[in-house]
Amino acid sequence: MSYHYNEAFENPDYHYSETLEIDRREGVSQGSTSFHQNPYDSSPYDSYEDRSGGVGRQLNVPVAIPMDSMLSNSEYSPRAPRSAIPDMNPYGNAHVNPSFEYDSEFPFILQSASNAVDGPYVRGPSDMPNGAGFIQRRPRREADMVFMTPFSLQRMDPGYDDEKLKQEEKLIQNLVSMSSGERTKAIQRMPKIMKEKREIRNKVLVEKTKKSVSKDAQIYCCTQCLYTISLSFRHFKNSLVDSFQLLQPWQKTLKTIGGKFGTNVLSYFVFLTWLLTFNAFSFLVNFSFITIPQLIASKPNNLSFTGLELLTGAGYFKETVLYYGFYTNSTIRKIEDTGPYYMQLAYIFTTGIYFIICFFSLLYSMAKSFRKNFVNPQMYSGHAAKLLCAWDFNITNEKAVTLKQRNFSTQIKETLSDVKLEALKRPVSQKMASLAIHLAAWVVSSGTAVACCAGVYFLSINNLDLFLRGGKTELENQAATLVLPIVVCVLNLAVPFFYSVFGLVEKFKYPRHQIYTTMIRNILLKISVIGILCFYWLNIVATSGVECWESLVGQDIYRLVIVDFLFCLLGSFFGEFVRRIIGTKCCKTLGVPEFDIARNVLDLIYTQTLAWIGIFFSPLLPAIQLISLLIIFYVKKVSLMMNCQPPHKAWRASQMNTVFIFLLFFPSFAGVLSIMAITVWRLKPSENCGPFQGLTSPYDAISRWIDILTSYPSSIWVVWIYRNLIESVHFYFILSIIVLIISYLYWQIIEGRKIMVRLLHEQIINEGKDKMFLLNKLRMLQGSRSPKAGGQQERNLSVSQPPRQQALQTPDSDYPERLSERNERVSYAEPHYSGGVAEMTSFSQDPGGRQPSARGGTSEALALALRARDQAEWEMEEEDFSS
Amino acid sequence: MGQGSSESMKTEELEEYQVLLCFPLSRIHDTFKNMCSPGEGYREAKMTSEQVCSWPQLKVNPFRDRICHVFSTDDYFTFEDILGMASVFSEKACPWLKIEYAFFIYDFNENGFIDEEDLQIIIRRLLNSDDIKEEELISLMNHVLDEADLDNDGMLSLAEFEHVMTKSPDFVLSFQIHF
Repeated sequence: MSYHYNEAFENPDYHYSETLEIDRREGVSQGSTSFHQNPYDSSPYDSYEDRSGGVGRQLNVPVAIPMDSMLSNSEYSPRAPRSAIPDMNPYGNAHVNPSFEYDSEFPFILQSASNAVDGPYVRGPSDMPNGAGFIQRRPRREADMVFMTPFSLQRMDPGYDDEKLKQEEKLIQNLVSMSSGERTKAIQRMPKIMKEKREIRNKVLVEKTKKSVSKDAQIYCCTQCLYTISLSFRHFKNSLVDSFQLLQPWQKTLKTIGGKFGTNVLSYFVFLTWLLTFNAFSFLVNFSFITIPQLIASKPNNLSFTGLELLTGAGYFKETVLYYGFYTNSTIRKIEDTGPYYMQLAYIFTTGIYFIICFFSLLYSMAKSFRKNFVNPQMYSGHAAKLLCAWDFNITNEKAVTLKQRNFSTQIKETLSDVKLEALKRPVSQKMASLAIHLAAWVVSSGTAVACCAGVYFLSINNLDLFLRGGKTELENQAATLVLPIVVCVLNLAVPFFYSVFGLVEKFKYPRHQIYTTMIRNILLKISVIGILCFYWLNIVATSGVECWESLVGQDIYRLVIVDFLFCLLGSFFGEFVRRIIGTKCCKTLGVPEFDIARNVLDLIYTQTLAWIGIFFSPLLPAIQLISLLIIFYVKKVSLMMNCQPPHKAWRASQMNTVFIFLLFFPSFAGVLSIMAITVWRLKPSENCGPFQGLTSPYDAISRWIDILTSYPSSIWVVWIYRNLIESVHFYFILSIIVLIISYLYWQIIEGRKIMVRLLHEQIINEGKDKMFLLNKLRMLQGSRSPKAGGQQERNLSVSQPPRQQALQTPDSDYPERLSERNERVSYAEPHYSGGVAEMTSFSQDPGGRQPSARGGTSEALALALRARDQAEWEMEEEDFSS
Repeated sequence: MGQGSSESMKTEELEEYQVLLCFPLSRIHDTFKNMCSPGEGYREAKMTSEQVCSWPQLKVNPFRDRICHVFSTDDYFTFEDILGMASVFSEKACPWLKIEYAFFIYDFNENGFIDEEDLQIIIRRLLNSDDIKEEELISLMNHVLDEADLDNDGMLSLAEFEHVMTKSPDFVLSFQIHF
């Protein structure tokens, strides 16, 4: 039984426990004969009966537990009712039995316990559901041991090295069976120092080469070849990633910001850079597929450039690639041999494909973010997370640290007072009053939004009338066009401030409700303003008979983007710089302004929406957006560094980021898609300009192209796909039904999982209760037991006595893995309600805990029992001392 | 990169580190540069915990001594120890690894659990002031334990700690140090 003894030795808890000396002696005297001839050592997967017999034989302990009878009635009835426990409890039997010998039974239980605990680790790779999980669990256990066992003890213990080697072998075998990618990940995840990791890796590699040599030479060659390819691919990927990182000049800036202001403010900048890459991609696509061909074929521009155009986007820019109207509807053919370049198709496909890519990447990042941050329904429920996750390790600035500590202190006081307040129930009248205030605030805020929309609508119609009538000087005309964007931006700037005044009146139970409410109101305002503008563009401008209405819309959007950008700069000047001067020089009570993450992010979402709408009407708008975002990035950074302090309220960065991405997706991008759909399918393009002139709708370009394609037999499949899939209603009908079915199934699976999670949670709580119950039970038993029976031995035991606390804790130190193991198995473990107690009764007969199920409950219960036993022992000792 | 060019890293070595660490390749170079003092081979170089603690990334961290203790071997940092530390704190490291090391860092008395003593030290360090009243401290501690201590033993084991930490995705973001 060398394995078992070693396990016991190697168990760090065991070293601490006061029975150590005894057990060692026991191990030597008893186990020395059978130490090297243990048949079970080499075959850990032996059948259960064999081993259970073996344990009894080898230990040769005068244990009075009726093993075989117990085996039949308790081992195979793990769901025995709890009421039966006291009768079946082996401890109980032991106490009643006169031949019971305390200490000799003890190692036996310990080893079986440690084996049971080890059960899942000992399993072969064959019954491992996934190798990665195994690896993930295993190092954790080892780390615990290394962490908990004093170094000297590890060295001194002869069994330790053996055991370690054995474990390592298993680990290596597992690693060998993995694919190289998995292996790398598994190794990376080990909480070990580099040297150990390297050793393991080298061993795995050696093992792997051994194996592959023994295989067929041809296969070996193949794998070798594949390996070389993958290696070079990885090399390439690494260097690509490296060079990509060099291309991101903001990496360093982000680091400084993170160091000075923490993760929360950093999240704004990360969002900004994310949008930046979006726009960069959009610009590249549009520029290369639409603009460059057009530039090749374009006529010279006769209009003069005055400089005011930069602001208004009109005049000179009308005749440039900036706007839709400049693009031709003809095919471009510069070199005779090559095929023609259909401008119409290029325009519509580029825009369409860009939006599709955008859709999927947004969807992907949204889903990823949701998966990561909204996994648990009861997230952020409490103080533990607040406290233990409170420290932002990013921060490297001393001032930021003191600020953070101060904020944290106030937060703690707030939460504590909140807890006290929660206990007091508010009277109904107060509740009604607060409800009325909320209602009034909502009415006022939506009323303001509606009023803003109406104002913008009438102003824009007025503007259009003025433009159509003309008759004024060019300068006046241009100035008139600027009125609308300026009004819109002022509204966007002023109304949120007005909304924030509500915060003084409205009282929210949680600060995050206030943040969310303000955000919803702001986004409603911004989106409704954009919505009304879109209505004006698509319904009024498009049907007003203006020459080249698309360019007009493009100009409007250009102006909105530019003016918004200018307002953003002004905002950070006045809102942050001047505010800081006032706050530090004149009115000290105001203090340094805080960086308002929510407002800034909503502004970004707003401009991004505009930029997306504008892509069709002005293909180079992403370039403008790119430049403005870059400037905003640096201006905000400087302003932040000079003027601001991080927000003092607790800000859930990851959750908020998810909300922001969702907002970017839902009202913003979805709205843009619908507007695009209306433009492409419904609206009549202008007669005399743009790539789609003369068509009934831009989409017509595609149907005409398909008509042309029908005459080419080689491209008949394109026509077939178009006719039968894209144009067909049935296809979409069937597709949506399939999607609905799949989502329904997934929904049901999720429901099932939810129930399971709840059950497992209950089970964890029950385990705790069981433990308490057992402790009480044992205490009672100890009380009834005569103090003389084991008194002498108890005193012996206490010779090498560690501090009490340690001994109390020790049996539980294997608990982490068991629990985590269970957590990891949440997805496939079957729920069982019986808890550990019922199974508990069988633990002393179960030497390995290696039944196929190896359920967490068994090992759990074992440790609980051990723990309880230890505690009881301590109490007995105390009694002995006192008596 | 040190003085002798012979000390600069070879590609194979870099490859190897890449496999062992969750840490982008370019950063290894940077860390390497940070680490190497002139005239000394990076493999032999050893730094004391105090030296590492005084790095700008750790200087103001209230848990710096614990971080140094957890990642060093016998209070000395070899090059690889530092790489290991940087790897755990990099954004690429998997959450489990981070949680585990956070547990080690927070376990001040190194008994394998975060108990009340540890929690008290954590709170005191987070506040860096003594203006918190004893009863507030205890009430806060009790709230934390009520919520996180699933088996009611008055302390958090690694599994319980993990359970709590996975509930707050912010942790992965905030448990980062850019070396």
